[in-house]
This record gives sequence, C-alpha cells and structure tokens, in this order.
Amino acid sequence: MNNDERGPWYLLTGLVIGIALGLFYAWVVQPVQYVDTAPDTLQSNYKDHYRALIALAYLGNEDLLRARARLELLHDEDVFRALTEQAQRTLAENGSDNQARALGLLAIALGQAPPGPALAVTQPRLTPAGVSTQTTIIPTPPGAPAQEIRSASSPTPTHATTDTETPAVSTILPSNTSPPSADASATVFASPTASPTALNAALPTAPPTFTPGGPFVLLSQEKICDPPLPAPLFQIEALDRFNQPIPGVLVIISWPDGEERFFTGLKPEKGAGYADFAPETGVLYSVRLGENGQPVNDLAAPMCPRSSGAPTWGAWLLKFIRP
Amino acid sequence: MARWIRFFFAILVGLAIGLAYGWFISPVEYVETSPHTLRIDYKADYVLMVAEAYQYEADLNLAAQRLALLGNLPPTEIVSQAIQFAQKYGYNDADIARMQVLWSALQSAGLSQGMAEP
Repeated sequence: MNNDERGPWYLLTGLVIGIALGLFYAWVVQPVQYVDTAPDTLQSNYKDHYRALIALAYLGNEDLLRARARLELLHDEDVFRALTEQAQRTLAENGSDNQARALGLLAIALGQAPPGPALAVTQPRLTPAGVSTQTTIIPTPPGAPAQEIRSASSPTPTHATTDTETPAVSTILPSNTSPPSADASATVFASPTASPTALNAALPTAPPTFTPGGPFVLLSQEKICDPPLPAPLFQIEALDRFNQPIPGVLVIISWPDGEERFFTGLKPEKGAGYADFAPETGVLYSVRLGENGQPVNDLAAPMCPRSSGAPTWGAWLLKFIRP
Repeated sequence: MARWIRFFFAILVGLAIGLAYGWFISPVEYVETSPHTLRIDYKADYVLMVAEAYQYEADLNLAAQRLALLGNLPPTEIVSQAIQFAQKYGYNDADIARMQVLWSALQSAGLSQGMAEP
C-alpha cells in the first residue's frame, strides 16, 4: 500500500497528538495561575477563618454595612445561615468562645438590620477590553436616597504572571459632597474592600445589643408538656430588665462529668435571647447565664405524665433576667 | 515529503487547539486558594480586619498568626504594605490609624520576624 492509499488519517493523528501536547502544556506545564484571587475562591477552612475575622472586626468597628459587604465577598448562599452554623460548629468543636460569640452577634445584627435595598456586591467582571467594573447597592436609612458605590474601572487580570498589574482602584471620589436630598443620589467610587469614609458617614450601623451588666437571676422556671417532645429539652431565655431578649449571652450548663458553653441568639428564629440544650436522662444539671449568674441546680430531664400510656418528654423553660 | 509537512502542520494546529482549550475555554480553576493568593486590595482589607479584631481582642499573638496567612513576610512588613496601599488609595484616617496601632504593637513586641503559619 503506498502513501496515497492510506488516506488522510495521518492528519487526524497529527491533530490528536497536537491537542494532547497542547493540553498537557496548558494544564500541567504552564497552567493558568491565579495570584490575584478573591475571597470566594478560598478553601473552605480559610473561608471560615475569613468569616470569623469579619465577625471579630465587626465587634471592633461596629460597622454592620462593612461587615455585610465583606461577607458578600464570600458568596455564601445564605449569609445568615453560614454565620450561625459556623458559630455552632465552633462551639461544638471547642473552638474560641470569643469567635463563636462574634459570629452569633453578627448574625443577629444582620437579622435586625433596618430594611433597605438588598446589598449586592458583584465580583469584578471582565469586559472584552479587560476592564472590570463593580457595582454595589448599599442599604440606606429609610427615606434616604439609594447610593451606588462603583469601583473605578481598572485592569483586572484573569491570570497574572507578574506582580506589576494594577489592582482595583479604591480612590474615594465623592461626586456629591452636599447633604443627600430626596431626589439626588450620591455616587461614590470605591473598591469593594476599601473602607471609605463615605460608607461610615452615610450608612446605618447596628451596634451589638449585648451590653455587659450585672449577673443574671432566674425569673421563672416552667415545665412545658404541650406539645410532647421526642427528647427532653432545656429552653433558656435571657431577658433584660425591660423583658427584652438579649442575644450573645453566655449559657453555662454543667454536670458532674462535664460542662457545655454556648450563647443565646444562635437560633434567632426562636428569639434573639433564646438558646436550648438537649439533656441526657438520669443526669442532674446546673444552668447559669454568664460566669457570675445565679445557677439553677439539680435540673433533670423533664418528664410529662400522660393519662394513657407511658410518660413523654417535655421541656424546662428557664427565663433569666438581668435586673 | 509534503506528507510529513502536512503531518507536522496538523500537530501544530492540534497544539494550538489544545492550548486555546486549556488556557481560555477550560483553564485550570483554583477554587481552593489560600489567603496569600488574594489580590492586594483584599489583602489590605484583610489586614484592616486583623487590626479591627485586634482593637477588640487586644491579642497580639493572634493578630500575628492571622497575618501569617498572608505570606512569609514578617507581620510588620505585611501591615506596612497594607498601610501604604491604604494611604495610596484613600482609606479613611481611622482605618489607617487602626493599622498603624497594630504595626506599632507588632514592632514593640519584636514581631518583625516572620512567623510560621498556625
């Protein structure tokens, strides 16, 4: 068989060899390297670290808007759930109490934030010219005009082989320095991560509601049998002297072989000052709020008698108040 | 001879297709990155968060450990770079002051040497 009779298959072979070599070079030898990444690409444990740092920073600056903008960078599907789950996970893994409390307080603060336009921080998006733009709509006080924060356009590389490329510009250029009016909206140019004065000046912050004070004392203790529960439960509520729930209060439950600490407010759907604990049967517990709170001792898993059949489990509802 | 030329030409075309696919259509995706790969403005904000957390916690060792995630540079150098970035791009004075407080504390504590990652 001569060359002409073998047909064009050799071309296909060459093409396949070339594609294989090209892919090997592009994926293994010289892959695209991202050195200018965004927080949403972080490994999950680093995301947890980043989230915790946002919460701790929030306790330092009490700037809820900034904390929210930072959280948006992580692209969590449900920011609130991510915070509360991490707070509970931190406590369950015997992590830092401080960190768990910060996460819980930030979650609560986000839940209590005044209504406003939804916050949307977009990631840089490439245009064909390689120019990125970012637009952020930030919540404003009721009645105030919406503000648009837009980053100055800047080259944002999809890959970087050098360190000389220009980062997103975060110069703050208020275009309207007069007080906002009902029909005027200020445009502020800023990077998503900058912390411009304009943000602090124009936007509401919700400081944590937790304020250290005197020791908590037991206000009431009630056995709840209706509805019957599949397992016993301790329900704890922390109240201030105006009977308002207090989130972020340390709950200490101890028993002869151990102790557990957690905070109120980690289940905000049940109340900002609420926390609960599933006791084991046959164990006596002591419950107190805060290190110096009045302890409720010899608390056992509550049983509720039934007119027919075996008794069922109920809950102890313990209300503590800070006088 | 023309046959070999066409063969190598086919390889080159395949190579180009492979590179285009590997670099542009389906590049290697880094979804499990670590903080030291963050863009410089995110790094600066990270340092600011560390400074804000330090303001609340007053735990310098913890702050230094957090800064160590940004790379092998000494913590003071990392904060210093963030301060320079913040000054260049107009962060507000209070934020710059927070970072300067952290820098001073690290400098005073002799944490100008690099720390291992926690």
